[in-house]
Amino acid sequence: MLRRKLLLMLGSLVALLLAAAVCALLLLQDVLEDLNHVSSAALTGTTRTSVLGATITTIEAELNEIHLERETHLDRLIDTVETLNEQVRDLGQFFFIKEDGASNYQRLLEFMPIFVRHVGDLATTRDPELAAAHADLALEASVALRKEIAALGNISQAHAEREQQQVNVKFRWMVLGVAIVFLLVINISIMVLLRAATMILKPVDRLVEASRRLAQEEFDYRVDVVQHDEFDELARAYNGLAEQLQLNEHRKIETLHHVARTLNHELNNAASIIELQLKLLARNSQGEQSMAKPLGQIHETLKRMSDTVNALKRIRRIVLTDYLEGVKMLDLKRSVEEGPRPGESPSQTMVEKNPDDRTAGA
Amino acid sequence: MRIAWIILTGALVLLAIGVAIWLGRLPSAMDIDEADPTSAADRTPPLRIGLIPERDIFEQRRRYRALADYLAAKLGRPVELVSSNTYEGVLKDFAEARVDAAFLGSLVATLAMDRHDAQVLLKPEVEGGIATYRGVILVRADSPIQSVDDLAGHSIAMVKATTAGDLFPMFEMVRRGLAQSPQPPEIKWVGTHDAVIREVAVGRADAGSAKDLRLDAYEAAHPAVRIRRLAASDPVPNNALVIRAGVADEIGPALARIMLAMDREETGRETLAAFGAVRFVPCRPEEYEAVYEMADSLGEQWAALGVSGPPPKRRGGRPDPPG
Repeated sequence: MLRRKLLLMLGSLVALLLAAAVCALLLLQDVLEDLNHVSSAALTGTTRTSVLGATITTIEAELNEIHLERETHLDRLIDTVETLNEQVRDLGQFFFIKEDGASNYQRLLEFMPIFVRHVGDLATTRDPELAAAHADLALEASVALRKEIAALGNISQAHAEREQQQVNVKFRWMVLGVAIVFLLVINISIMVLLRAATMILKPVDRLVEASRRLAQEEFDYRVDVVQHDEFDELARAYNGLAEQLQLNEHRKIETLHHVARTLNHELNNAASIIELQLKLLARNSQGEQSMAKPLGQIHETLKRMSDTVNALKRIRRIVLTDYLEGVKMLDLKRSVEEGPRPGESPSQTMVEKNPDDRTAGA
Repeated sequence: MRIAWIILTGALVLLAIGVAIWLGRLPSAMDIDEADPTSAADRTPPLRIGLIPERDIFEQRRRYRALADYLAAKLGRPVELVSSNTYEGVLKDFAEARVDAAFLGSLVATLAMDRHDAQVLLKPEVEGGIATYRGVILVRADSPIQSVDDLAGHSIAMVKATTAGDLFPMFEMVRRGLAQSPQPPEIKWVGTHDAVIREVAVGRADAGSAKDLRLDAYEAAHPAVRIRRLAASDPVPNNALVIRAGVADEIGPALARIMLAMDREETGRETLAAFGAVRFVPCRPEEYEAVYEMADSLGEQWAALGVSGPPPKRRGGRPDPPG
């Protein structure tokens, strides 16, 4: 029972610690993911806008090559423009675009077809005047695109910084929360351990105290342990033992009382006859001095015998003392007292080990 | 005691699982896709198809990309598109074997047949069974120019080395004496038929000459823009697939078989729809008669087209018409 209780308490404690650790790990993982998201989003957002600018530059360079007739094929230009379109589409998937940069992105989308159309016209137009007109318009659209791209880059950066701040706040709260939770867990652990210690030490203290009392022959002392475990069983066993010892003690005293009454009965008759004879002897001696002294001593001895017998009738407990080396006798004076005196050691009050000791004392 | 061990072991297992999950979610440098992206088909030499801009080059590339992907799947080899920005470029590509085939307008197709012995194979047919186009001279509806004769001294947007955008308007101007007049029309060379129409529509050119099919598409897309057509040429084959002489026997039959059957299967029809046609039909050199006639009639004015070299000649076995 005690083992089960301890296992339950310690198991709950381990489970609590484990749950707290798992929760802390999950929270930490969450924060790490947020940090990863922030860094990647910031990096990706900035990179994407930079790449967009680079792609536009590539288109302009390719147009220049075509204009200078160093390039007669349009494939690289077309591929680059398609790449630009894809990059613009990809940029629109970013969260910061939907949240903060919607208007800039919308303008970017509006400028894109204008830019692309003039790029296409510029790449194929052979008339210098028209080419110059398309070049101006393409350049105008390019500048507008670059402005919007730069603005989106700034928005991306600002968004990343804001998210970073939010993650920092979240991390601080998480650390605080985890610290509080672990403090609680530690407190709970201490309380549980104290409870477990109390569950063991308290009944042990009571049993130790009871053992001391038993050693001091306080057979009426009982242990009060109600916790339905092994200590409970131990306490019941102790109480049973104490009760048995108390019963034995009671029987011994009863026996002594019977012996005392018998002695009292037998000795009283003898003492009465002796006393009567002493009175007769005293009258017959008519005050003779040589008889008075022995008669007085006999009288005193008779009185001591009567007192001893009377004391035997008043025995409340059995206290032995050394009579001879290795032989015990009843300490009559202390046996009639109510209980052991304070500070009296068990060596002074000895329970008899065998009936011979008692007989010897008696 | 056994319960204690069970609890301890369970806790350790849970901890191990948690750590494993946590470690598994860490970003790893091993997440690099090391698969070889190059398939067996990609390692075979690609079939290169040349293009000349006649409309928005990006939209044109998307249309032809759909066709190229279809052909690549059917041929089992990659198909690359090679866009030249001039007719000279594509003719040079033919000469230097940098392309195996090309979709060419009628004038450049005749030049390729004449100068590089290329073979015309197929032409696309659009809704209504139309597989030809005409050149049209156009002005805005509110333009004071009422006829081709009124073009003297006005600007006209043209597309170099095309039948509709170059040969036909020059033919008309020569035929009507405008080219030789003291105030000939001022030619603005733009890159595509779409650009011609756009320049006229926005007023940067007084007139223009372009393919009627592109003008039809523009008018359908911009109903608010009113265009007046002043003249139209005889029909000539729509942009045909021309095969380079060196590979005509090798790839010509396979291409013809695949492309002629496109309209008979679902994927082919979808590709044709993306391409902007309903089927491919065979094309013969004889269908370019109108081009030859206009080129012949230009005489010395051929040089005014801006096309280097002599005008195209009819292929062997077909004598030049008298006169």
